[in-house]
Amino acid sequence: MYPAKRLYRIFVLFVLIFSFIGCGTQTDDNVIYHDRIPNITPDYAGVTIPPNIAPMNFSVREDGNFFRIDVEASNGTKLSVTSRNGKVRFPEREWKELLENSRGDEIEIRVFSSKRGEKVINGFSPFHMQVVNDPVDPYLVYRMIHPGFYSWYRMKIVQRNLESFREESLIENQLLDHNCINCHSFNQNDPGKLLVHIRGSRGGTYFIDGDEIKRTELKTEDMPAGATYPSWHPSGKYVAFSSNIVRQSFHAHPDKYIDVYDLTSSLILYDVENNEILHITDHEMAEYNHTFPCWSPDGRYLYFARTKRFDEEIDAENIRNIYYDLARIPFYPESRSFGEAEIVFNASEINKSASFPKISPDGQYMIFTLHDYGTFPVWYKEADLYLLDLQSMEYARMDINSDDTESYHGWSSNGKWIVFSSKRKDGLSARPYFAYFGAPGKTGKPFVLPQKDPDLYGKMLKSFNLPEFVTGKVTAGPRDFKRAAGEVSLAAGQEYQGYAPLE
Amino acid sequence: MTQIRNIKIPVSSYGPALFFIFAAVYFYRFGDYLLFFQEQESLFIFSGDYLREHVQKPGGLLEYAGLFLTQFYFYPAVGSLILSAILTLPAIVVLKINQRIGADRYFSPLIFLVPSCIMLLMQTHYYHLMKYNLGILLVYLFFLLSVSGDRKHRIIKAPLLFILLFFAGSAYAWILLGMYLLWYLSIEKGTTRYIYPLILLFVAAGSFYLFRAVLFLEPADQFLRQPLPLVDSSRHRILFYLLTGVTLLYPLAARVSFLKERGRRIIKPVSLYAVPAILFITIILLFKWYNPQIAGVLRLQKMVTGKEWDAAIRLHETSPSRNLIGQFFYNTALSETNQLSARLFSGRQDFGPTSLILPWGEAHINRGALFYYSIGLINEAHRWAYESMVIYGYRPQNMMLLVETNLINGNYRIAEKYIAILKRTINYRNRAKEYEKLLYDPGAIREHSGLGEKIRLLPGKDFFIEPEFPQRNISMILESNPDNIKALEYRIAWLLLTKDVEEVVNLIAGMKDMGYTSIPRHVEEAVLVYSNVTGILPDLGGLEISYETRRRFSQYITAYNTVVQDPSANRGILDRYNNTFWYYLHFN
Repeated sequence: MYPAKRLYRIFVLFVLIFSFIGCGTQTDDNVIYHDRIPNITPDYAGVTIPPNIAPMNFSVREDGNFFRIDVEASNGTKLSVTSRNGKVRFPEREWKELLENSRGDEIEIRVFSSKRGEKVINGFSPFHMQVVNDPVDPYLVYRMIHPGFYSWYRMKIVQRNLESFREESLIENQLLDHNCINCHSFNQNDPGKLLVHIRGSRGGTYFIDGDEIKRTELKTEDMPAGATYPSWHPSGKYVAFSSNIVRQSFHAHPDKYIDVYDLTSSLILYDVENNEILHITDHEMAEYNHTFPCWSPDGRYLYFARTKRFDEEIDAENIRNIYYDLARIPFYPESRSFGEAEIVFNASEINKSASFPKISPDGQYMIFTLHDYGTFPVWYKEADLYLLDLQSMEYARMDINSDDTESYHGWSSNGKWIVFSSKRKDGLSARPYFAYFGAPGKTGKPFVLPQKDPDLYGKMLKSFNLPEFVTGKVTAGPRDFKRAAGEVSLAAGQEYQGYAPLE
Repeated sequence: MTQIRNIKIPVSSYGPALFFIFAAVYFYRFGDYLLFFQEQESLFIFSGDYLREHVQKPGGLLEYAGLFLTQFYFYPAVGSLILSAILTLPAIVVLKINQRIGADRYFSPLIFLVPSCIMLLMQTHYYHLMKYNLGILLVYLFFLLSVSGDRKHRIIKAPLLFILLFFAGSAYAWILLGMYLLWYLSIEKGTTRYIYPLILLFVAAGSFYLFRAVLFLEPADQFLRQPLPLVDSSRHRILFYLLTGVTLLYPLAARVSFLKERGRRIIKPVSLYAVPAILFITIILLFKWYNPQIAGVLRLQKMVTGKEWDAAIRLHETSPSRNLIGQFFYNTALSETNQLSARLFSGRQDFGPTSLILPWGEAHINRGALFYYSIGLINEAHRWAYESMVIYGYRPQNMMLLVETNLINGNYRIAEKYIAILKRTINYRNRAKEYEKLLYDPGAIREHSGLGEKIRLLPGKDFFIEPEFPQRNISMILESNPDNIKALEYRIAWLLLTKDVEEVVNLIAGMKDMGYTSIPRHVEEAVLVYSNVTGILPDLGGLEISYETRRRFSQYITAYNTVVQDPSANRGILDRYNNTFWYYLHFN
């Protein structure tokens, strides 16, 4: 830092400290210590954080017109900020330095508040944040949508730098005739290999490979519907999709708003290099609806959720009898063929339904969502995350759940961090929460994605949909998708000349 | 010539004043429905986020300013004054421009009021929003700024003002550019005549590229057409093209029209009477184009929105709306006052059961929720309101419905968010504070006069809503909550409007148990039709047909037979029965 700038900062700090003293006093006689931690939002007290996370800004919800927040690392590094409205915003550079000095240790945060005209200062018990050594992937990609029903107007997929507050759009639908954009999916957290569906006049599945982009049409006559939920094979040569005919129905009773369900769904395998669609079905499997494919990290198994086909017309009562189990099927890349399916988690046995299987990068664990019935936990208040040990096949409810919906989730590339959607804040809008995964039963207290404006979540109605960790920045942007949308889409089975370069 | 110049024509003072007064009176007295409609189309939020949202796209500032002013339409008197002032300002600005560009004094009266008058006529369309007026006003203002001050600075001012307007008003900048080009090409001399336009064209092309390819993520339409008043009405479009033509050409005309003495002599007498004549023509057109049906529907909407049910019923019965939406509002008001089965045909019913339940779709998304809310299908009402918010953004009606439905359903955390938004408005802050008192207090909500009743109507058992066959929802909620009297009323109304007499009659036996002390009038009428046709008096469940209805039926049959048997008989003798089910059955 330039000396002049440093001097200026010292001066500002000096003025702030003395202005604070002017509001009250710092002598212990005038400080009333409360034997509790302060009320803050988001709830960051006791959370476990990565060493590379953006400043954990929060709002103090205590009476006062002036607040001072002292943060101290165990090695003595200190950081102080003040606030007049309770919004605490840490300077990025100092925060980074503080975390770097606190790896494997904790930071302590003390909050003081005072009221104008009063000499008393309120002090609160300190709270802590555990800083682990394992960094989180630097980017998170999610879709911003109103958690609505039929309609949309504007939606976008954005990438957020987790080490700062920088957020950039990946796709914005106003450039694509306001088409619906959904289901972005990365291969092993790789920012250079992703796909995204666009529905409507610019419809198709858009693949990005390095700095090239192509628009495809993944629907053949023998598929029940278009390609829906994706999962990349680790080799990057294949993508497994479910193909779902989806319906949504709206409940009359206030307990629940909406149910989304599949009339039918099957699994397909898209050969990316050969632009070919293969069916992952046989006679036995045709008895079931299959959805939510997920490859094991070694690419030898395809996991998915399945349920017996339901022939009756679905209504508000019998839908509660639809249970999805988790199963897997071996894959033989040499012949692009599959073996026999086997159940890995029998949810129907306990009158529950499982969805969103996601395997840890080391292949040892699976996290899935468990709920009372059906296939779309996003709207189910009771939906919780469960951990399945793929060696012992033991499972347990994770201690990161809340009384509200926990649904979509993903692993970081190092397998140490979990991101998951939770509606715990208001019951309607999903927010991305992060939890440290040390070992089964050793998950850290989760924290919501920090924002520059700590009150953002209180005001925002939109949901952060499908949060996915990415190891770097995606180089494509909205204009690249717009350009690709202008190309004729390549139907599966057609020969193609290669990818269109990104500009 | 000197004599001519000495004649004082103070149109610059009385012209705008007259226009302003006339416009204000018009909007307050006749155009109040426009103010209500537009105020309901948006919700201005006092927050940094709301401003940021608008600044992020070209034309957003204009929209923001328009929404800011529109919120004052909530008070008709204030709204009329604001709107009239904005419509008057172009006239004043044009007068200033005329002074700056040295327009002949006899030309000014001919033209200065024309843009304002065209805008006033355009304003009669309910979708002609404030931002459109502001856009045109900005064009004139920026042109005025361009031609003001030192002539040598124009080469810098014009491009800068273009860029500024391109950001603030997007496509309005193209009108300004047109004015500049025509002006420079005609007025400038020598090389500047071509250099200025070339520079402007270069700046315009550069701005377009920069805005579109670098600064903003918006489709081309946003830069080329938005937010021009391209309302879906041929009359409105013609007026807009006329306004654009006048705007583009008048500075030229102002300069060149009096180059010849002869021309001045011709227009001198015309200019003396121009202002009264233009105002007179405008007034004639305003009243000629006034559509009492649209005004009626929007006034009904205003009453229904304000829960002034009796007023809405009275309005439709005295000035019948021939519009589907208008009749839907009437039926909603009847439902809210539990009068559907007793008063349905007292108001005009042209659309059969369609005017009971509006079909799902964007066209009705702002109003259709009223049916579901009235009948106690709160989840579905919530969904309509939510979808409306997603598509059209915050509007007073959808936000308040979202608050109310979430309070009824006990989703207090979500209701709190919507309340927080309403609290950041001028007009709905107090309402929000009232809602706020109900948060996390189920007892208070149950005791609330409006919300408590809805809780009692809620379905007891769950079922899936059927958006494709909305009438099925009536039967299902009735089955799920047999005490839901509004559902029964809707069921009866549906059957009456579909002329299903037998089904109506079958419902009577249970009516006493639901609290009816007498048979509603139209149900009595249906019973008498049924008995008359079948010869069977159905089970009335302990209730009776009133003497009055029997007497009227007897008279109606006599009159009806007269008309049917004698085609030459005056059919008007049946008109006194046009508020009966019988009349609807036979003649609708």
